[in-house]
Amino acid sequence: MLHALLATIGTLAVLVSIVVKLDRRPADAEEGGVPGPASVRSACPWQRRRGRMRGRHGLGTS
Amino acid sequence: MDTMILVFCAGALAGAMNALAGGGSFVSLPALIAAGVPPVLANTSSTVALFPGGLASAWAYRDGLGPVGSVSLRALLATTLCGGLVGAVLLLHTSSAAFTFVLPWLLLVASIALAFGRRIGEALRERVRIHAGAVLAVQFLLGIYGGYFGGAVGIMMMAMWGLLDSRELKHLNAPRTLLVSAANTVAVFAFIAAGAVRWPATLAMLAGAIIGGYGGARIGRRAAPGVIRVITLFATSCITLVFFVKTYLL
Repeated sequence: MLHALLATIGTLAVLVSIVVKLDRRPADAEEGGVPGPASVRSACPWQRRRGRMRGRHGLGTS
Repeated sequence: MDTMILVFCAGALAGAMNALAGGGSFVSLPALIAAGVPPVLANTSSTVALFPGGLASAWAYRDGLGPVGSVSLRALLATTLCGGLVGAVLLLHTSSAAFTFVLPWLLLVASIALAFGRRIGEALRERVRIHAGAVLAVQFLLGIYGGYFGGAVGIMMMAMWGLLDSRELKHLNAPRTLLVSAANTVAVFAFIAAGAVRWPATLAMLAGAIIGGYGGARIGRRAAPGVIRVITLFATSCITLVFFVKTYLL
């Protein structure tokens, strides 16, 4: 019982520390940390193509 | 400094998890990313850090090694080494942004394999039988997955071998540990040769993983398997959810 309790507390402590630290990382994959959706999307070819199409039709690329 | 402590503690937890029910990379990889290591380097460094523990398990199981059904261990080993090398090279050619994009899905696949792999394997075993050639082909694909990411690859191998061999699955534990280590060995050599390892964080995690692996084996003798499984599945589900939310929603 004590071992299970210690294992649970230890696991939770490490998980919470990781999640808190992940949240504080800069949103740029090359700098480390998990990039936000915008930077992930900009890395995807179909999203870049959509951006170019928008630009071509005068819809803006922002 | 606090980052190194987190990496060390995550290594200890990952080592303990791998010694008990698997899923250690669910903790080691996110911890390295949280410590500021770019995602691809975090994956390569995590593989290197957890490698000695896997090698020790393979050594412990050496007496139980043998062929899997009609497929010789040598053929499986050669196939896995080739697959592992392909997976490692693929990972080294993946950009951080692309890897971040696929990482939640890899975690999800591994979570499902950890949670339901045995049950899915048993259900398939009652309905499907495959031949030796198909086993080697799937083994090559699993080797690629092992070299690229590797989460729950041992469970996937056992599920696949169960379709070929009618022996009890526990007899397949020895070849499983050897072949998972084989995929990792070739990947580790490729990562080190490519200079794709963050050594300070990796060494801190490796030290933690060795201590955690030893402690995990001791806890494993005392704690109920059900409790360990619940904690493992809770940890893997939480990490998977966090990565989906962080990558696609925030």
